[in-house]
Amino acid sequence: MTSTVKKTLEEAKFSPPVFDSCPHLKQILTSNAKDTVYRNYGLAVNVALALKLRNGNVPLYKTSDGSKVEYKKLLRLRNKAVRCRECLESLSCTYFCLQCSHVGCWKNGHALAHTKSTGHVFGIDSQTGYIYCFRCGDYVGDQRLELIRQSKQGERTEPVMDNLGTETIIDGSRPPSLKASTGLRGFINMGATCFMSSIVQTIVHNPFVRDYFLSGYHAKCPKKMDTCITCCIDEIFKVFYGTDETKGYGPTALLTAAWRVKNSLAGYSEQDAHEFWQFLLDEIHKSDTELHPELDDTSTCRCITHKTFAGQLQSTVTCEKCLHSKNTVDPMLDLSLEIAKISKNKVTLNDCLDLFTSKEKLDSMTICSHCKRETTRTKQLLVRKLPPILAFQLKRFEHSASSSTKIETHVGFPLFLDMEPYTVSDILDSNEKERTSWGLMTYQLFAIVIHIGSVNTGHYICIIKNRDGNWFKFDDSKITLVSQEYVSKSNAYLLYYILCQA
Amino acid sequence: MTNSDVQHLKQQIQDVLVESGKYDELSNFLRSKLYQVGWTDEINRMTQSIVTNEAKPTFSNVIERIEPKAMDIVPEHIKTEILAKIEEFLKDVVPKEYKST
Repeated sequence: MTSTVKKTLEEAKFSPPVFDSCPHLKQILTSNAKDTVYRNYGLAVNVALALKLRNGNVPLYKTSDGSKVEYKKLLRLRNKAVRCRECLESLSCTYFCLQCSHVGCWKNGHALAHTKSTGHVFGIDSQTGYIYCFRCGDYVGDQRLELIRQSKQGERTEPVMDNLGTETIIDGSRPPSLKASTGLRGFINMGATCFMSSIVQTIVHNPFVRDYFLSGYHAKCPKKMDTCITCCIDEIFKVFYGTDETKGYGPTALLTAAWRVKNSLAGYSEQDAHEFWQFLLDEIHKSDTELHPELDDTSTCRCITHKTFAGQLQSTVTCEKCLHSKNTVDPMLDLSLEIAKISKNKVTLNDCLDLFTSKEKLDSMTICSHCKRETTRTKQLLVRKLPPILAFQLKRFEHSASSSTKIETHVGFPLFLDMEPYTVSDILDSNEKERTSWGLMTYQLFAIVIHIGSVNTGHYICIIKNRDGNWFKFDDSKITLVSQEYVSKSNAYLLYYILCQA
Repeated sequence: MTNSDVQHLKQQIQDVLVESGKYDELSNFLRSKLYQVGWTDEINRMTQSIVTNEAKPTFSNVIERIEPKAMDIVPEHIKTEILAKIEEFLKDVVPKEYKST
């Protein structure tokens, strides 16, 4: 049974405020000052969020004659606007007054002093646009103010609306409990299905993919779980994050749909987790672009798969005689790395990345298109564009015509990975150069998939870092808390890193 | 130098720092380093434990309890590195007549 909650279409497009309201905020929003407050808030948020990335891009501002406003100019204008009116501090946290044009700092107490002398108790955080109540000593929020903030930032959710334009909510529904909101639940092994469970866990705990599903982006899919893999994943999100149940979940629907969509998965033979990961991401890409065709109308697909995992790899071939080089750029969803064979006893992920990005001499002789001489060439791979989630496969399985072998070498991996040494440093396009100098290139490990056993018979488990920074081991339906040392000692096969926020 | 001279100089440095993009560069460098040594993780854990153990946590009392500890556990080598970078930046922008004072 469903009932409707009265919300306008405009309201339903945005998520509720992050912070609760407070008596002081309620009071001012019902007073005569409310229109000034809404107007001031809109202006302040414009400045606060002026330079925040939108979909990973630096926002573009144009002057009235249509020319682009230089980034440096934007920095200068913003710096002036956020400056404390008393001490001119602009580097640390400052607050715009919600009721007048004052700007005060936190560090030297000028925002608080303004509150005391004028009775204006709210400050708008000049870095986030959130509202701080100096009376409560806490951040506060309100639906309409949040709507203003989100519309400036371009954050939107997909509302589940009926024909009348009201949001549909199941009768008697309530927000999920804290326990359910962690999404911690295992999968029952349905007969060599651990390759599937481990991969799905890395997806369930991937914050970008999680937000996509929990925001209802797939809710409108006309297909059912028997033919749509993504519908099965949607159902898993619903069950994992919406209920308190902790008993293992039987992924029957996913398994049957996977058998139907990809015949080679059928039966009880053991499958490669990496192949399943690629299959799953491709299915999600397909259904997202079917539902939202506008996402795939340019050269770079903006579906959830590509937005989350896609980067670019640049291959540079250089003539050894004239040193003229030629670049080709290819899309990448993950990096498959050979395990470095080095004499020292400990091999690390960085060694594998060094190997991957090292200059390799190409065997064949060719005529250089630049100097026209017969020459040998070198080839080097570097990452050109880093994705929000960086996935690695360590090539542990070697398949030859006669046999298959598994490399058991322990490859050490950092919990935080600096990708700067492996990325292209001289990006010529000035637009992109701005972007890379902007963000961080440090990644945080959040999930690993481990293969235990031999080529022919083995078991997959995975370890995931949750939002509190604790590590959990998922072994089919069993979940255990493990130490950081345990994680570091593990023999990873697949590794998933998330870009640290600037 | 008078007090207002210092104030004026401080403001000028701040402006050049931000408007040249150097501030973003330095703060990103510092953030990366703090992530890499696990500092950010540790602060996260400390905050989580305060928030879960307090009946009515507010931003101001959390920051009051976290801030001194957070400053304390920044590794010395990171402080030295970032200070060196700031000094290098200052050498280029501060006019010579101020340097002796």
